[in-house]
Amino acid sequence: MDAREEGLDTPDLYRLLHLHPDAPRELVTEVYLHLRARAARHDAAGRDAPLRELDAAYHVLADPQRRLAYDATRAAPGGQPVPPPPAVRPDYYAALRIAPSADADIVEIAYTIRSRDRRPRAPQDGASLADARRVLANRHRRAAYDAWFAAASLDGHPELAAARADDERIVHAFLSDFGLAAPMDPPADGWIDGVVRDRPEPPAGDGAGLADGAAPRRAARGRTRPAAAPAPVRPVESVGRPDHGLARDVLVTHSILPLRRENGTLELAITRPEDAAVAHALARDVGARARISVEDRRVVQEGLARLYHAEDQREVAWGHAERSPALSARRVLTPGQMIAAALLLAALGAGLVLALVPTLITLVALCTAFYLVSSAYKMFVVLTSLTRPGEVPIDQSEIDALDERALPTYTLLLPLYREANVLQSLLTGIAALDYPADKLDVKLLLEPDDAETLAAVNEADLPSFYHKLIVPRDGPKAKPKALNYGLLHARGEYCTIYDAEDRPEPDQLKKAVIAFRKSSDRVGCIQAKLNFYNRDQNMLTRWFTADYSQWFDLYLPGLTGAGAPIPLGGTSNHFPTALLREIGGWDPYNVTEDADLGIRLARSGWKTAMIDSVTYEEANSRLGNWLRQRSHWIKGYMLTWLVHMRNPLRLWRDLGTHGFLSVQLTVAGSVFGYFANPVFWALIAVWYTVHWSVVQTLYPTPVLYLATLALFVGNCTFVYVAMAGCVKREFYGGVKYALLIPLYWSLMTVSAFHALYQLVRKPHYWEKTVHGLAPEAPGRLSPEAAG
Amino acid sequence: MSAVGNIARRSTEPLHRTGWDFIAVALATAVASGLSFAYYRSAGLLLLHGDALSRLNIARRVFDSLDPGLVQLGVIWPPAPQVLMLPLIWVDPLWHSGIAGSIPSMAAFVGTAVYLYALGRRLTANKLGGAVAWLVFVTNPNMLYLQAVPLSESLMLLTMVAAAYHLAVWLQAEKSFHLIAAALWVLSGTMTRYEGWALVPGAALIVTGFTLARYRDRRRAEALALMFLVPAAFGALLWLLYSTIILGDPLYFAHGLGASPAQAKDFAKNGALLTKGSLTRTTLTYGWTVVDIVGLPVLCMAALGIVTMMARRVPLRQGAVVVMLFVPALVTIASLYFGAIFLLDPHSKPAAFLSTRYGILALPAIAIVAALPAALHRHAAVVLLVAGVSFVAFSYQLGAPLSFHSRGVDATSWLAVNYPVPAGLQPLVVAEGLHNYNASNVASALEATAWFRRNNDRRRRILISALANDDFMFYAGLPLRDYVFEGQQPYWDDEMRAPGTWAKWVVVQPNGARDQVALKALPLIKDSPRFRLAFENDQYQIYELVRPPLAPPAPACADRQLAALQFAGDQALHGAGPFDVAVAFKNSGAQTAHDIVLGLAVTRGSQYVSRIDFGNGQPWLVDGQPGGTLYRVGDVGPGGTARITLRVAPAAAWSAAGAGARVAIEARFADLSCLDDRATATTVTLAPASP
Repeated sequence: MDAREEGLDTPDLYRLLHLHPDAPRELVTEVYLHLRARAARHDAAGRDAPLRELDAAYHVLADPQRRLAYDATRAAPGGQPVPPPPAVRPDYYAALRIAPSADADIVEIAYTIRSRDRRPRAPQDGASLADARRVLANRHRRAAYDAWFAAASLDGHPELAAARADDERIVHAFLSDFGLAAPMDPPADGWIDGVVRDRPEPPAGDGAGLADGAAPRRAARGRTRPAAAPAPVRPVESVGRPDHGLARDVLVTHSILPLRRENGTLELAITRPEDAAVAHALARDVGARARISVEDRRVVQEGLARLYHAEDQREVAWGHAERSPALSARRVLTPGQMIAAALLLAALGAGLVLALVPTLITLVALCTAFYLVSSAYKMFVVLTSLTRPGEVPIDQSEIDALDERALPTYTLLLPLYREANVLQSLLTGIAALDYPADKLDVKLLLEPDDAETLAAVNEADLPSFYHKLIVPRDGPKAKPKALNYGLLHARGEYCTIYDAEDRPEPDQLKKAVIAFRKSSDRVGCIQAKLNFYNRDQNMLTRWFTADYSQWFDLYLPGLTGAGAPIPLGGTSNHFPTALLREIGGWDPYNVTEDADLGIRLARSGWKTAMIDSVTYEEANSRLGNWLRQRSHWIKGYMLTWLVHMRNPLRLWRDLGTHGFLSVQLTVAGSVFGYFANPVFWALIAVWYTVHWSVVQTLYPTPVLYLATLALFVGNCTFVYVAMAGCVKREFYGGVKYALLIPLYWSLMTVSAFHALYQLVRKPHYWEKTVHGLAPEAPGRLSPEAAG
Repeated sequence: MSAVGNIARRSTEPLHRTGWDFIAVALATAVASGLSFAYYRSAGLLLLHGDALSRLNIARRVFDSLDPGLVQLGVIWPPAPQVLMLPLIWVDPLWHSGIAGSIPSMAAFVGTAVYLYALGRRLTANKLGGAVAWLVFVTNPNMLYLQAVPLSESLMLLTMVAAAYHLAVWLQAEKSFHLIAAALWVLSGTMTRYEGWALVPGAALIVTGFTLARYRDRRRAEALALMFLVPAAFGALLWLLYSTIILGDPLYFAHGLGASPAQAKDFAKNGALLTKGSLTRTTLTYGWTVVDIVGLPVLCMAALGIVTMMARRVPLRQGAVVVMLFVPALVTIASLYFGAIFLLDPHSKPAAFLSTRYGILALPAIAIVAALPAALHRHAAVVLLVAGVSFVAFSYQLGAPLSFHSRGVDATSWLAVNYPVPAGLQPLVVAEGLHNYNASNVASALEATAWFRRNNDRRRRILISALANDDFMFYAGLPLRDYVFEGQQPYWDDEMRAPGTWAKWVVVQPNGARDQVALKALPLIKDSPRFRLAFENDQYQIYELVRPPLAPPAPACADRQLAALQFAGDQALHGAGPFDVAVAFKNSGAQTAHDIVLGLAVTRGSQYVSRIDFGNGQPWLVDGQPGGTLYRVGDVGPGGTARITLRVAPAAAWSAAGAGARVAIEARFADLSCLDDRATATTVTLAPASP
């Protein structure tokens, strides 16, 4: 039985039949017959009244005389008139003449009967019948509508206040999960009053202002919603020091700001009434009595950022390096590595001097063998991705079946640096996400010296779930530091990263939530796929797309399927926030913090899974820009490999044999290929053009066989994998260009040498990639820049 | 229920899953394979076909040769069958018995049967369909023979059936994996037989046509065609490239020595290539071969299957896969028509046996077509019917040679003498083998090898043309590294220019059309007092080198020679050395000579005992072997001279050669444009070291 009916002494006959008091007789009959048949089949599953009561209700309501009499008594039980129905527009229930308790079957019956009704519409039928049916017959749309309906009619209609009790029960259950069981009864000073008193006046005629949390998702999207006047940020006198003993993650998760503590009273600012219980529990934990006020979320978040500023400044810049120096790229080579490298170079030099030809032959043989083994491994991985990819299968029905009210809060970390030109595109991309706005926590991570972007963000019309964070100045100026800062302030149960030019597919967050729920407990990261929206812009973007397609659509699913650690892609990787904090966030000194994090996750025993949801990025369309970006990545791979190979035995123990070899072959193997390709191609070109005999000397017969295999089978397989990637991504036009991808590899080689130079000269320097060069990207720099 | 209905309804079932039926099919096939092998092995019939011997020898040469390496695989035949023999061929008994090649053939047979079952099952959406296809295939006596011998047919059938199966799955499920698998099997097919090359365009057309018809998207069709073509055509392209690099001719396999087209030309010369240019004769010849190989009853069933396919209108894509299976047979017909290959069947004119095993390429397609009626009837009676028909076909096959006999083809007389098996009861390909075994000169070869084994007591090197004498080399049982034959550089070229440079014996068929020694070196040998004819029968001549070579013949490349060299003269050296040897060169040619390469070797009589490097200066390659030293003498004009003083340090091999051994100094111009410009040699006589 519906919770809203509890406590009524005599059952309301309309309610028994799930009908609106204005329901026409025909509808009464149809619904009665339907319910009776259902009750007789005993499949009502507790939704309906017993047969006897249904009969009684019908007996009254089907007869005009009795119904009139009943309506009269119902209108004034004990002489009190029924309050007027809430002025909620559109009221789909009223339009169909049914009660909010009616299920989908009754919705259909009501729609059929009401559509036959040719009489002029009553004034309360503001909504079209088709709309009503469309919304109420789909349980997700209906859930969203119900939430809004409940909030919208709360003040006006005590009958619907029962729904509020439900919500409170949910909040209570949620808190219990956190070990923060709070009393259901409000404290003596009465926070409800506080809410009503402190709540800013809702903008006239805009239902969305009633409650942040209950606003329908659609209303929060930038496109459809009129600009919400930004709440004035009042200066808040906070405690001033973070040594108040309160758990920071609770404060951040629930947006609770400690204001001051006086005489055993802790003043706390909250943003949502339902967080009051948490606030009380927090205060109790530190032996204080809570005095609670409700503030605008931005005020509280601002306050928290200021409160923890000093602590954060240190944490984001040096926290990782101090906690786990062995895994920090702050130092490129350890003394041990330097000695090993020196010994290796000395041995090589001695070999070259003492036995030039045998040493060269050995080098050629070793390089060829390594190339072949990494090629074979790559083939194995691609085959794995074709036969048993490590992708969590999710179909549309699962997404449709999600209860949006039960979705977790999701933090989106958006590091921005000199991205003013693509900001608008970013906002559009985020607005397109199919996720309830009240469950979103978007962190715009801004650099203090980036006046242009700061200005653009300040001018932008940001929805309420956006939160601007200015990253502390200390430490390296790099994306991972910004991400770490965002992580410290993340409210979400899960968090993910998007770059400024990213356009994730709208269902990505929901897919990630489902994937986390469906996969094993050891899955610590869900990686979505990356691809490009400007793939056909020029040859470079076609190759880049082929490269990305094979990496994200074949290689990574294969690696995850084979259970190997994966170097994460730069964005669209989804984590449980708590886990990410436990792992220690990103290494701010590593320029491919994503690849490093992927390996660190694996070393801690966490697995990564993939989902088939794509984030579209802008492919670098200009050669210089592309070379810089690629050399940045290659430098990062080299750094990552050096960091994790500081103690190879330890790495082996952490990852197991397969994982260890996989890291060697994927991280070191790909970098090695960039350097080896030109050398070996040149040797072969020399041999075939001028038949220089020295080349033949370097290739004794067995080595020659291996090298031939590597040249033809190895290289051609890689070309083919790129083609297969295009087909998998349905980028059919790119397949023929993928045939020419060895030219693209040559470009990679150029980047690789630049990367090597940078690794020596400025290992932590962050190469900034310019975005907004694609014609499709709105807000580009200038028309000629798209060239 | 119509066939279309069956196919449409059942095709979504996961038929590709391995179940007990696949295991049963594999086991039953393995048993049939083993029994057949045991029978033919006990009858001593595994090595009836000359090609079987050649394939075994080619594989063996990779390990066992003067010049071992993968290059020995040659380009006349695609390499896959020989490569699969490599793991076992190095074991002598497995080489001599042919088992090293039988094992891959048998494994391929089992694989083909399983794939054929799966394909039949998928196309008819009925296990019975699979069973019928399997039964037709496995009970074919010719197939049972061919799977037991070291030939390439069994492997070829595996590649085409497997490719067809994966293509059929892809056409239904469109999973990339199956497209790639089909392409890789086609790739294997191209590496097995040249007929397999036709599968590349055949299957690519199916892929493109299907995608275009279904999606009407040109880009998509182009992309998928490339996805298929890149691996499928990879082997063929690489093969052409390899042929170009090794032999300077991408199409060597088509018109090189020993290639089928070259042999077909010989036939044409004799007026025996009647199929060329005659569609009627081609169709009749190949048609009769297929009838004789597959059997009339099975063909009648296949006809019924084709009628079923037409009448019930099997979906086009299913039909396409069947057509693809026929492609290799169609290629054979085309090759016959264009005179690239030859095929003689007892039922066509001239009534004889030759290459009748080409008919087996049609077997899988016929087996599948014969299985199509199973899409309509799913009763065990069908299996019984097929079993009965197969049995009749089997008996028909066994009796076939008897009927050939009545047509004047002697398939049995030699067998009757040599093998205690009922000669009349042999399938066509065995009958052909027996017939040609008899007609060819095995007896002569055996006589020659027997004499040779007796007289070659010191295992000296033998010059032979492997193109014409695989049987001699096989029966002689000597390690293949004792032979000098085509393609072994520099030995072969040296021998062609100056027979006896390396070899002590020359084995030659003076009338052999393909015998390269007979064609190129026999006149030099016949007229030379250095050789004596030691053995002769109706086929073979064996010459023995009796005297050391005289002055080497004039360089073969004389017309392209830049300059000629003359040495100053002989010198005698005494003691243990090292010695300074002054060598003078005179440019007797008409053009300026440049740098000179010197090579040094110890000779004794006509044999090279060893090659010795000078050990100073830059190492240089003589014919791909380290063995010479580059000397910079600057430019020497016509008539000019150059002098070099060599420091010669006698090596152990030199001293061991003893008195009478000589050091030959060879010189050639560093300009390698003409590889045959080796100059006259001078000799330095070695005397025993003075005490």
